Amino acid sequence: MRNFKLRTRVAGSIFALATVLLSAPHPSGFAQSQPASPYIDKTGPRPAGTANLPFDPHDFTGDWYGDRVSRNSRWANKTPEPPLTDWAKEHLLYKSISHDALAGTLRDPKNPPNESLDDSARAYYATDLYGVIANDPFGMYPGKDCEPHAAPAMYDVPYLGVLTFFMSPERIVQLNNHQREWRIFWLNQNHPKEMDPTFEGDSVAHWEGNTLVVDTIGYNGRSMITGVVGHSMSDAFRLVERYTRVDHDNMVIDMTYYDPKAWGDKAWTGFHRYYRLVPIQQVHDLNYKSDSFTEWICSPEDNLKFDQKLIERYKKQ
Amino acid sequence: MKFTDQATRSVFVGLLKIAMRKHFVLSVIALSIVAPFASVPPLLAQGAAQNIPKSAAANLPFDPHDLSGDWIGENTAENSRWANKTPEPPLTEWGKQNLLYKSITHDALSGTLRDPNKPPNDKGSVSGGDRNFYATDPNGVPANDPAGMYPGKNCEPLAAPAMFDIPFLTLLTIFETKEQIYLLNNFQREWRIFWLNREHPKDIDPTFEGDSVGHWEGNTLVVDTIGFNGRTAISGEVGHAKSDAFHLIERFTRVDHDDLMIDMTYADPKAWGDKVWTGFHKHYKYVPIEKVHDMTYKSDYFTEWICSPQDNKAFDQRVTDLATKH
Repeated sequence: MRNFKLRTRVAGSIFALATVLLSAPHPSGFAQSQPASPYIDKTGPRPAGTANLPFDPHDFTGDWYGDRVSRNSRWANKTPEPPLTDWAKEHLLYKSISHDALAGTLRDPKNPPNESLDDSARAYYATDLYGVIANDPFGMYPGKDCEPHAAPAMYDVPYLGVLTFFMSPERIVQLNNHQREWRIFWLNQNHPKEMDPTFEGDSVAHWEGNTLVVDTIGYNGRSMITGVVGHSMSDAFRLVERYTRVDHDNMVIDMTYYDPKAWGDKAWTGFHRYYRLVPIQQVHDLNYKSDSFTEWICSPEDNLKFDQKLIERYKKQ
Repeated sequence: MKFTDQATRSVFVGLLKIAMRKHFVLSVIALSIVAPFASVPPLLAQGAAQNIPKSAAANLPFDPHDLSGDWIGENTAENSRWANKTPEPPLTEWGKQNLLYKSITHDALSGTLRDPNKPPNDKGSVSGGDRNFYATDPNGVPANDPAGMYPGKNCEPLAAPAMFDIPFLTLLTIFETKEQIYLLNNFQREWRIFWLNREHPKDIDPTFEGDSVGHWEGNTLVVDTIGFNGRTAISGEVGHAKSDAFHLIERFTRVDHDDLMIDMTYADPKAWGDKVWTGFHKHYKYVPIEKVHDMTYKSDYFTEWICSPQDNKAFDQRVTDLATKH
């Protein structure tokens, strides 16, 4: 499988892989059959002492990588989701999701949840809070069938590909190399009065001191919030991101989710992602040595084949 | 399948409405499938590029080594997919055996005319009103088949050079750093990275977009791309795929403040032996950033051109249903 991934660079493979790893009846056995976790940090040693170099806090230009650490996990947020409205229960819930849910009914109630990144050691939630089945290889996950991830689900696995930023006085362009999506943050503009809903939504941004605040609305309501939440966003979903470059090497993203159709006037807070700058020479070298830096295009044809292969393996276990 | 003028127009207008309202990226691909059969569609023929004022800015000072910004191709004959009059080199036997498609959706560059009593009419517009279409390409691949192959079909990547097929559909956005040039193709949202003043790696894992290195020759950026995975179309008008030996050479020249020219040469030893295919040109106009912002909310040409497989499937089904009714 590892060779398959390396050779074909199927973007969906990691999601599908995660699907099976999380949903297999004996996930530890399955995990042990793999040569190595695909999630290991392949970026090599960090350049020493560069965090203290001078930097412009208003400049995010460059390539950023989220290390595979607990605080970057999809399960890291401990702020509970606001209660779903009746409308949301009726319209937004999935039949099932492929990943472990954030919280809910434990598969084995005698074992406490273990929200580490080590999938083989985790005790899984069998359902989310609303009874949506989790760990179902046929369930929903971000980017399934090569549909767009959109934010915030695009941050689910920050160690799979780099985030690249280009900045100009008028706009910031954010390239998410995993599944190759991009977003445009228009600086110091208002959202248009009328907007056609889109996958990525409409993003406007401004600086509050050294923090870039990005406000996104206008979603088409067809994307997941994250792979570990058992319902989609509605078309009223609103994402507020706060980007802060805390030193030369490190950037933190804080996120707050709003969705009046899903949660009324409550917000869901506590989402953080931690990225570090990757020097351009390292980006170049890793382009040819690491899957995390290469062409993460989601090919529907490859994705279908790979999903089928994984499901067949799953059925055999 | 046979379209009457009226039926074609109604299909076309329907597609266009959907494209405008729903922002289906594939709708325009589907549109281009139907387009060769259609009479002149006024809306598309005018094109977004023509909404961009011809400014006196062309004479402003500029840095020929700075290509950064947004560019769009006008819907002119020189930008047409049929503009190249240099014939394709003969296919090798291997190429005939391994690269030919069963059929293509668009009109072929040349081949057997549908009506041999009429001359071909390669005016170059995507609108096909009076065109006498090629029923096959020179290698006998049926053309104008709605079920045939076209770049980006089923949301597979377009890749270069097919990504330049319809330059007036939406923007090319270019960012430059000392080490890299990023070329973002807003149509189907693909990007390519040109590493500057580097060699290709010795071992390349083949990819859709290939491996690109660039350098400046005077005021021209020369981009050399190899390492394709051989799974994409060269263009919608060529009845075969590129092989994994395809080699693309692009020459980007900013000729004045407002105008960018791209000259392309194709090589493919597996397909054409030692012959190359030359004569491909695209002409892009600079779009000022304030125009990009305003048009983002007023024109489908500047909006979210994401290819959703789900939408694509639904739309293709609709187009096929419409086509089979006529």
